[in-house]
Amino acid sequence: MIEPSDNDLVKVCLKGKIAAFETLIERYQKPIFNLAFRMLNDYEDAQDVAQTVFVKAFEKLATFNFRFKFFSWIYRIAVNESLNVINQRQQIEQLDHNLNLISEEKSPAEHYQNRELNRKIQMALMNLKIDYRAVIVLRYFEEFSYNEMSYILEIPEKTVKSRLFSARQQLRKILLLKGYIENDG
Amino acid sequence: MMDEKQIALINKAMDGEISEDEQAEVEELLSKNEEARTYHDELQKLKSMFDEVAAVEPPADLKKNILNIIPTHKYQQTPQKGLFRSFFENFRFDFNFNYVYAFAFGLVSGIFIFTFSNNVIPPSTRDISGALIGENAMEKFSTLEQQKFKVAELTGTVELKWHQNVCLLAIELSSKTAVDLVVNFDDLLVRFLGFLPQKIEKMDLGVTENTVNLSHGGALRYALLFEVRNEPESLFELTILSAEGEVLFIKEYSSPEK
Repeated sequence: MIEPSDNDLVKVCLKGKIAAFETLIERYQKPIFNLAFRMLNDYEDAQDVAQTVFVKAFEKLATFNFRFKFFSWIYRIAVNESLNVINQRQQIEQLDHNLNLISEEKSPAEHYQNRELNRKIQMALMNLKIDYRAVIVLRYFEEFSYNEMSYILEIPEKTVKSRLFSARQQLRKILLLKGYIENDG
Repeated sequence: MMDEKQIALINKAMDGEISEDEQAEVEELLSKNEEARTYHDELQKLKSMFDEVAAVEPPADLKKNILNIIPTHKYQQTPQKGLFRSFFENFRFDFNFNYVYAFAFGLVSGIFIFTFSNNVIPPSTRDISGALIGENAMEKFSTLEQQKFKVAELTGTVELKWHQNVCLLAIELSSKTAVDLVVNFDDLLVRFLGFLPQKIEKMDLGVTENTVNLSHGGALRYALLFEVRNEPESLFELTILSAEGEVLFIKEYSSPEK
């Protein structure tokens, strides 16, 4: 049996079949949660954002334009929602050590290594400006193209490119400074 | 030393958004410039760090929590009232001069469009409009492709026919259970012209600017007509879904030039 596409599921859902939306939640709950977690560095907040994103997506489903990809659309909602939380709470972002929630089964050594890596990455992300953090998360964790990022962030492709460039320069500096990547030169 | 253009080029390469010529330029730069090579390696290591990091597992009850909050009844369809009953129940007339202006504007626009429309409609479309009525005119359409299929309790034939700038999707379906047909198209390139019933028992048709939706059960034969503009590579995509949302048939149709 062919897997229904996201857009097909949206159409079925709009006809009142909630099971179709359940499938969309199953497909995207993990990446949406991870996006929020990387942006907010807080497990509970990421959970709240993921819930809100799906609720908003469901409520606005009738306005979804089938010319776009569903996942780009829901990522757009997720980024905006994460930015809202950051703006509203004005939280002082500090490293949270919720990182014992790594998904895959690993040996203790691998587990420790991945925790360390996760901590380093998260620390570096939290040191970036919010705009820069968003482009890095979308590019490195989700591998979105310039064009898709332009749609999600609602900024021109040129801006995506320059923002990503600056973000990457800053991230590189932070990681070099902390000695997380070595400068061979 | 590296200049800004070279730095930007390496960044572009890291994003995989680079042309073949630029790729060759990067390779040459890396082979000749030590600083460029170091910079490239650092960015590569940075990327590897992200590649290695594992995704964080969301709470196990996230889906359940979402389903508890969303208004599940929102899109559930309710039986429709009679057309006029609904109209009279909702109708409230508050006299307002704006209505008069709107009516007058609509009337003038209508007369204007009616007067000039004969000069605007392309001859080919007028030709087809007339052709829809008679069986002889249908012969003008030549068949481009035909698919016969049998999936679960659904059997059917779909034919793509073509004449000038109009294409016709002739559909013959037999299904014991209800199925939904969805035709998606780019409204800048393709326009839905109409529906040609040949034998109808029960039909529910919904049309938006870029989709045509049909819901029905039983054995049916009908045709959908589309005007094609600008010779697009892709015409439209036809999907047939079961009541549970499973895709039973999916096909993308292309124009004959491609």
